[in-house]
Amino acid sequence: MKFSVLQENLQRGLATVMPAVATRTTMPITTHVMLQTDESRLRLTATNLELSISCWISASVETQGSVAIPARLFSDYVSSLQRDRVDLELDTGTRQLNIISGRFNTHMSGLDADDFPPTPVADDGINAEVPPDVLRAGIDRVIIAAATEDSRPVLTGVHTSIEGDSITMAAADGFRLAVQTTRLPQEVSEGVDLIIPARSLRELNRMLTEQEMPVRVTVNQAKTQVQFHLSNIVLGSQLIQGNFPNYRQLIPESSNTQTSVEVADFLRATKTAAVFAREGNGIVRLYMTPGENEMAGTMRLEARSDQIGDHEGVIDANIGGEEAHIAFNHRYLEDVLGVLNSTATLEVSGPSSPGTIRPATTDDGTDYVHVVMPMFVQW
Amino acid sequence: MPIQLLDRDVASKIAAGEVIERPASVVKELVENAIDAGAGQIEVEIARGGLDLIRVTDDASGIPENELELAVMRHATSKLRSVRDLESIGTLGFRGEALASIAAVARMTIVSRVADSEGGHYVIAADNEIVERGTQGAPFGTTVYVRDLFKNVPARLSFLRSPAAEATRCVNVLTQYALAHPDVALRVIVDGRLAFHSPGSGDASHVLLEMWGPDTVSGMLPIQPTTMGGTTVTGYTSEPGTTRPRRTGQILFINGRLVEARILYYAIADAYRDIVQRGRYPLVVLFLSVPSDEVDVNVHPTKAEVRLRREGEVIATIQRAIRRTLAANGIVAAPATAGQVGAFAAPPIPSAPLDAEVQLEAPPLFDERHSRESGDLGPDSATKHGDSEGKRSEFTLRPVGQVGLTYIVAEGPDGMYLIDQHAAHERVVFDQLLAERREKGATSQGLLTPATVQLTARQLDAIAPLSDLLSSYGFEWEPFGDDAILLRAMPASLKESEVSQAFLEVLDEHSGSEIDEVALKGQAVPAGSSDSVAQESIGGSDSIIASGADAVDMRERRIAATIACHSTVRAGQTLSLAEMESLLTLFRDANFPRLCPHGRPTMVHLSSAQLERQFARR
Amino acid sequence: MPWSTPADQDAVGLLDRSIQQGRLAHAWLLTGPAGVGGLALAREFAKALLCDAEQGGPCDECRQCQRVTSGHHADVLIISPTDQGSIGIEAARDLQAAANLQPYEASRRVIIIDDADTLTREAANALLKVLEEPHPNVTLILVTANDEAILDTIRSRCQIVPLRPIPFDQVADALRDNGADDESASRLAKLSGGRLEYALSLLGDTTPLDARRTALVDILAARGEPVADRLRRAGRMAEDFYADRQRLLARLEAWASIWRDALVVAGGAPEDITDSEDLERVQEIGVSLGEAQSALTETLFTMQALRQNANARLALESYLLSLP
Repeated sequence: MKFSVLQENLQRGLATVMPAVATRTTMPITTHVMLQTDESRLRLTATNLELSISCWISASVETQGSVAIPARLFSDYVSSLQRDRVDLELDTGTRQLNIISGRFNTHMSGLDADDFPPTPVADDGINAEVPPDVLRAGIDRVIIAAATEDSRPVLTGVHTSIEGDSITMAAADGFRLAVQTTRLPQEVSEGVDLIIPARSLRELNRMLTEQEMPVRVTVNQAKTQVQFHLSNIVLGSQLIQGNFPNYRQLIPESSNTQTSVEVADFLRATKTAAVFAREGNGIVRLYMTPGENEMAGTMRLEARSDQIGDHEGVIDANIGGEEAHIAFNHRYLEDVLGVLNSTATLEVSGPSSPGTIRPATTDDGTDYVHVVMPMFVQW
Repeated sequence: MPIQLLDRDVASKIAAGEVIERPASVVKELVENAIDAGAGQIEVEIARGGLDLIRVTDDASGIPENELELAVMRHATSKLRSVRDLESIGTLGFRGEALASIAAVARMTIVSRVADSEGGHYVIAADNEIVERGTQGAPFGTTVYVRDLFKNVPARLSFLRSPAAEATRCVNVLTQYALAHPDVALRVIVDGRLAFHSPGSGDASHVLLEMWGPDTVSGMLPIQPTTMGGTTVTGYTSEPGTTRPRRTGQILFINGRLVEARILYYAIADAYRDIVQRGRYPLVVLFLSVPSDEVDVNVHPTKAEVRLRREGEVIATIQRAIRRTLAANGIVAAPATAGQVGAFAAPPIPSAPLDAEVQLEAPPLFDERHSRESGDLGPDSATKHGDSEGKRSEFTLRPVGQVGLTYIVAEGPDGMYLIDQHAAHERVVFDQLLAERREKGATSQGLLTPATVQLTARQLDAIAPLSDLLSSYGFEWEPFGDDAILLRAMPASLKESEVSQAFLEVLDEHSGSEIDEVALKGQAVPAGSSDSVAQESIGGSDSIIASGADAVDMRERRIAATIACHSTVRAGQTLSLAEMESLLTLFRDANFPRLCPHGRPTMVHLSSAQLERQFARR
Repeated sequence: MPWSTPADQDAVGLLDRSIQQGRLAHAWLLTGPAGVGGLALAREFAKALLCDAEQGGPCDECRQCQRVTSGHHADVLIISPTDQGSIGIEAARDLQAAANLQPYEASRRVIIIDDADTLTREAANALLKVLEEPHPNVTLILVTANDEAILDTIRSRCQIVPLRPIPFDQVADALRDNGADDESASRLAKLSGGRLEYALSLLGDTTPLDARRTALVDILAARGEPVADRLRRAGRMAEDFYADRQRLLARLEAWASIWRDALVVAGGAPEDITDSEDLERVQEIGVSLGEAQSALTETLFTMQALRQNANARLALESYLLSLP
């Protein structure tokens, strides 16, 4: 294998795949990055057997070939080079990679690329195209509800269902559920239900900021892996085994009180209350009072702490239905309000039933609902 | 001495009464006899709690053929001849009627062989009569087989507990003999399995090792022989981190005889005041020697209780022995503020003994309980008793890093502080939970997806009596099938991934088979007896038999402790600097409580002075 | 199909049949004395489960088999104790990840836990969670030489496959196949007690035999020592333990082997001694039947205690004091 690349491209490429390099050495080769020539490009791949990232950079290739190189070492080294051309040549016998850049000459020992976990070809299954902003919005709004600790491993993943012309993403931990449904530009041939590890989606989200073209989502026949194809990057993730709970039945069908508020106001009021709520188990109490005679109603937020004091804040609200009160953990409120904008509606049916928060306006074919379980307090 | 019949005078002096109450009594008598006879090795076998078989084999001098029968008949004893002997006994087991009493309620076979005889001889006794006698091959020494215990007095059987419980009692009795006689090798077999084994090495700590295991024993400190007047105390006493929820680990020997004396337990509790949390009892093994004419062991037929002529002296010696040992190991009691142990305004903190030079002098200071070690925490640390009302101390700890993912290393006004991240966090949350619950009721977080929890029968049974308490802490549940429940809400502080675990732990703690501390005494204390009266007069809070209110309080606290344990950072968890800072802030705001709910220390302090000394800069 | 491991053929047969008949439990526990080939068999089993040829046993030619052999198969995870001698929460996390994610390149995942008796409490709980909710395409294989130390809750969820020591002739044959002469083959076969892996390792490396020699010398020395010296010896052994756990445990194992010989000699069967070259010196130890038995028991007990993190100094002092 012999080829040349530009240092800045190589550095950028390595930075892209680095999040997928394994940190634990159960399988030593997963701490390596695979370098593989692909026609006139260089492909960099890293995988920790859960998340895999491949990235292509342009290269001037003289001889094709591949090798696995210790990722951290290679990356640190490349970062220290000047912005210049880098020539790489592999001695297939000794598996030593010779790296020359400017007046620096290095040899690094590598491993047989054949031993590297095979990158599954996922073109034999589902195929769907999703605009990147749709994907990002979906992930942002849903991933906040995913569980971080795996008491039930399926809950550490985001349930993703692609069917017909829509994609639905749902995540839940023991206390809240978030579901976002978006319309796709075109129908898919075959529907699919997956549970994607939240970690992988977070990584994907970071990459989507620079993506402009639609993202092609593919799933292999065996339904063990999903791949997201971006321009020059492919992010693959193993899927989580098991059955996601039937979340649809957790969404309350009706409510006694519907409160419509400006998200910005609600969020600010919550953050202020949080300063006091933090000390005392995180409770924020909400009191919703409908207005009279065409007057706007109000929502009052209360938080108390024996040590530092108490706080009360009032914001305007359009309230339909009866007077109501309910208490939530301030963090859950902050999480969902942080991913919404303009107006949102809070629907409750009593202080011991789950409350739902939906955006007031549904922008072009998205449907979002967030269900939160309240805290049971003395009123 | 050869066995003789006691003269009636002596016999009548010996309190009449029930001697053989349960299998453990049989075991006690037989083992005492073996030890008296000079056994170096004793083997005890128990089947079905002792009801099917109790066998005691020793390698002692044996009982000569012509004395075998006498041994079984009433009122025979080889150890006393007159009232004078009674008054100054040096040996145990002067109750010769024991063998006879056993024979009265069981089928007993004694096989024995004396040193220079060709073979052994045996007698079989039942209903207090010799039924059979003869010769038999046997090793040197004596073996007593007791079968069919209480078969002829079935009424007594109804007072017994389960075979397992009776077996446990026997083993407890035997372990105490092993402890009192560490030079005797003792093997205890229960239902075919080796339940206990003392190597007979002569070192009591080896027996403790067998009884309690290396983990516990490594938390025990040896007591250097301490003498005051005629009383000498030696033994082992535990570090504050090694405690039990009941007094099962406190074992006292006076002149080699196991005793139970409440006044002495009180002495121990007093020595550990402010060092161990209420409701936790240190493990203490004491060997006291007192002149034999100052101790009266004849109070009760089963010899469990003693009366001391110079009680005050004995108490003082015990306290001094314990306090000196604690001090010598750097364990310092802090002046208590009103209220709970462990919450201080500005703490003198237990120092870590790095080596002998750094230790405190065993101080008379201690007896006045005003301990102040060198390397104090600066002017702010002057003890402010009134300060515990939530006023934050000016004392700040700055985290430097983590060790073993378990301890936070922090810098403070005087040197280095090591904080056990789980213990400290747990204690803070524990206090918060109790306070919150008392003041306005606990907060409960509802579960969107209720958790299914599978329960064993025992756990299911444990729910009903605990139901109110559990709800008051924020648990809400409903039955789900025959062997599970659905948890719908949990205490707000709990981590969601640990809610089922926490719930199960609370149930298990309250449903477990009771550790039978009464086994120590070898008999049950009937309610309303003079014993419980004596109890109350000493001080209810330290008694084994807690009063009604106290027991509930204990349960509340145990539940709070379990919840706290599952609401906090764990040992082995990586913490970022920010996380360490916020934990230390929480800790500071709670006024640096010194002990976690389980009695373990939260913090260890190495003063600047100690550090300098260790590095030979001073 | 031949399985290329010399382990207990009954066990191999059981596994082979299970694959052929499709009666696959999702968790297996291979138990047998150390060195009897448990881990090797587990590997072969993993191969057989993933083998493309699907003929029961592993074919050793297809890509799956080869990748397992080379240790590079992404779906075969082998968990072993760390240098500290235990399997802790970090490894347990790997276990959970492997068990909960879909297989990477094969049709199933195989997770092998070697020395499963060294799982810490947290790791055992994590394992239990996986055992309680098994996914159909995940197989767990636990290997242990210390069956007693496996939690009942774990054992009850596994299919147990006992591995017995391999018959003397088979071991001797295997040794001869590997180049040993008749006399060595016979001697080592006897010494290994049916543990073929061990016997083979002795061919290349006679350190364990040397260990027995050293143990003999030590025991003879300790026999004559007064209590204080024995305590000092215990202290030194404790330090050795802290420096290198496995080495000290191996030493104690050699001691146990010598005590076993002493027992056999005291019992009047000197021909049953492990290594006939040691007979005279073992007789020199000069203990009674009861003493030898007790010493052997104490040795095994002490090894167990040390494995379970007992205070080494206390345990070793207690041990040395208990010896005749």
